[in-house]
Amino acid sequence: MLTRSEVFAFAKKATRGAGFTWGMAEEAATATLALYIAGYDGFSELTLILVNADGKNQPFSITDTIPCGLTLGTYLADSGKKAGTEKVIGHYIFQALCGTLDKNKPNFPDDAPQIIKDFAYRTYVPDSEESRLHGAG
Amino acid sequence: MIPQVARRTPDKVMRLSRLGSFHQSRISFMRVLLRRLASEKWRFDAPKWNINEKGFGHAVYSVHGPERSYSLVAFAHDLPANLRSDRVIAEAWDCTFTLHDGIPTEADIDRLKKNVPLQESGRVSNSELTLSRANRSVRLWDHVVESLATGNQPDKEKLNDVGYLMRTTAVYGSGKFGAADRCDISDRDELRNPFQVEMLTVYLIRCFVMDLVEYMAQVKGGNNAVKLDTDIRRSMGIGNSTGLGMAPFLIHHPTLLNAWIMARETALARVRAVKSVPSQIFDQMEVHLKRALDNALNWNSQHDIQKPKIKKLCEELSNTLMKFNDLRSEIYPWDALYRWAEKNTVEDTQEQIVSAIFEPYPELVDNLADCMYIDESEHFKIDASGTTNQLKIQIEKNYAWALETDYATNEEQARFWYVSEAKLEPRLGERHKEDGGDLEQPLAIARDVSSLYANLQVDQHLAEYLLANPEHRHIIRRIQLSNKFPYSEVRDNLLNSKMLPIDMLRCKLSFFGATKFDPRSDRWVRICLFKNAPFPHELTNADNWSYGTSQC
Repeated sequence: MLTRSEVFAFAKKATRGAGFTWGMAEEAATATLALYIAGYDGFSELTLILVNADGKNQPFSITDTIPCGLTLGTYLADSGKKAGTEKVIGHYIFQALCGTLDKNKPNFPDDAPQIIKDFAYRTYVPDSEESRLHGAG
Repeated sequence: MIPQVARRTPDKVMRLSRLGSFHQSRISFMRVLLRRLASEKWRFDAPKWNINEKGFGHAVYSVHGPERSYSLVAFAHDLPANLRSDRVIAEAWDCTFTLHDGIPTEADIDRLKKNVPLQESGRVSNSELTLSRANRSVRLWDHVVESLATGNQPDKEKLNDVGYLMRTTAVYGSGKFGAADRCDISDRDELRNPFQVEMLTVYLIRCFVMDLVEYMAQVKGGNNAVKLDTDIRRSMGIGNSTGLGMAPFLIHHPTLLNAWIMARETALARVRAVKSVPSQIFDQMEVHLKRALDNALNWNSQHDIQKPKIKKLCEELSNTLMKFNDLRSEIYPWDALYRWAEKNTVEDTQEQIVSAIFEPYPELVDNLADCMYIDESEHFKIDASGTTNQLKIQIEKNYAWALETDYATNEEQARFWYVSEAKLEPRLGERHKEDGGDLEQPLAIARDVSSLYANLQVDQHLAEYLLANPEHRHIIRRIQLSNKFPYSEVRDNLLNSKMLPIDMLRCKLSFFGATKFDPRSDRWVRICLFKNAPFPHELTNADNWSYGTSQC
């Protein structure tokens, strides 16, 4: 079973790897962790958001027909506005951000799905001869 | 209300050169741990010793507190010399360890036997609190075994040069590799203070290592073998080899950093406010300063930066001792000493004096250790109800140091922090020589604040600004934290070409209680933990062992 810190780390890196900013990645990781604590499949929910975002220009508009749940949820939480019955991509992440999630028993995954690992992988820098020469550690 | 003078300002304290000059003190985590073990009369036993005559096998060391027990499960391996490496890329070690939550069953030990020796490639469970490994200091290990086996004590000078027989190369906790998360254990009195499970692990590793070396001598020498002399045994700590992986910790945990520094600065402010000092306290302090000087004189490093620092520290501590008698007639003598040090000594000496003057004042200092923990998640949310003009004012107030720099120059952006694909560890790259700058970690605090500030042209609601400018979100979170937590930010440019990562390591390691800080480059160090610490059967409430009662 993954630990909370592992879920958070995977989610943060994967979100960054999909092109969101570090600040948004922190929000996504917090929401993903909140989903597992509330008994939801956080990585599957996050994957919806990351696949939608991959390769697109950011920031996203919250007036899109079906907006990004991470972007709209973060905005509503920031502005103190109440969530309605908006249709969004990544509905449960959106609810976690807006604080409207129904809570169940925590249910942590055994591992992160490959797609989350693949997104996370994009944030790593391969070793180079130059980095080795400079004594990277 | 305990009287105190004004705390030192963040601008003074939070510079890398000063943080990189810190020394261990009464509020260091290993001392906090041992005070608790002593005052609560924790019991120790070693219920399992399945080590064979070659020194391979496993052992269990348990400690029993008022409410819970914890056990170090130690595995000793046959490590060929060519595989012995302190680098994080190593794949085999002389010994591997885990701290188990409770007393392990045989099934637990079977499970751990399959995983702990693999370290990062294995997996522990939430019944484990840490995962660690250590390598022998081979030359010294062989010398000690050989000496004891033939009925002799080892050479004190050789031992003192190194200070340990084994050094750990990582002590993972807080949810790493399957171990319990910090939040699973932080409601326990004994583990609420930071790094208590890590410190307990290392303390028990030290017990195991000293028992192992005596056992190996006994196997080799039979009836001729002797045990280590008590003083020599006590003078041996556990080494630790630490590199860049640890450096970003202070930046990733701003509220925690604030809690640590705030405790230290409050302790200093309280002690400086002590008006009159009885002569026996002066005597105690003088003894302590002499031990600190002895410690500095025995502090070996071949590193170009550290060597002159130690030399200067020794000279200035000698001067401080000469000045010491003048203080006896002063009112507010510790304030006078600190002010004198500020004018007449370098930061390393000043910070040694800061730590030293805590020593005779457990009643003013020790309870501050209970303020060094914070629930970081409570401070995660950005308050976006204000305006960007308010944010601008916060930047001007708390980040003037960051706005002074021209980040367009090569030198101010010479480095970038990244995570290496090979080891998934933080690394420092040279921006103008290496690829990967586009994958920079969010540790460019000063530059990012400066860039945000330049972008705040029009006053608007912060929530709207964040929506349109998510690239500034991470730094806005920090700026808001800095407004509430004055010591949360290292006030230097972490990308500068002359920045020394070892300064961040030294700061964190001083809070652990480390001594013999020995940089091996500008980005990794060796240190010693629990040197001079009492073993379990020697624990008393007298927390006066940090620099030893005598040098071996």
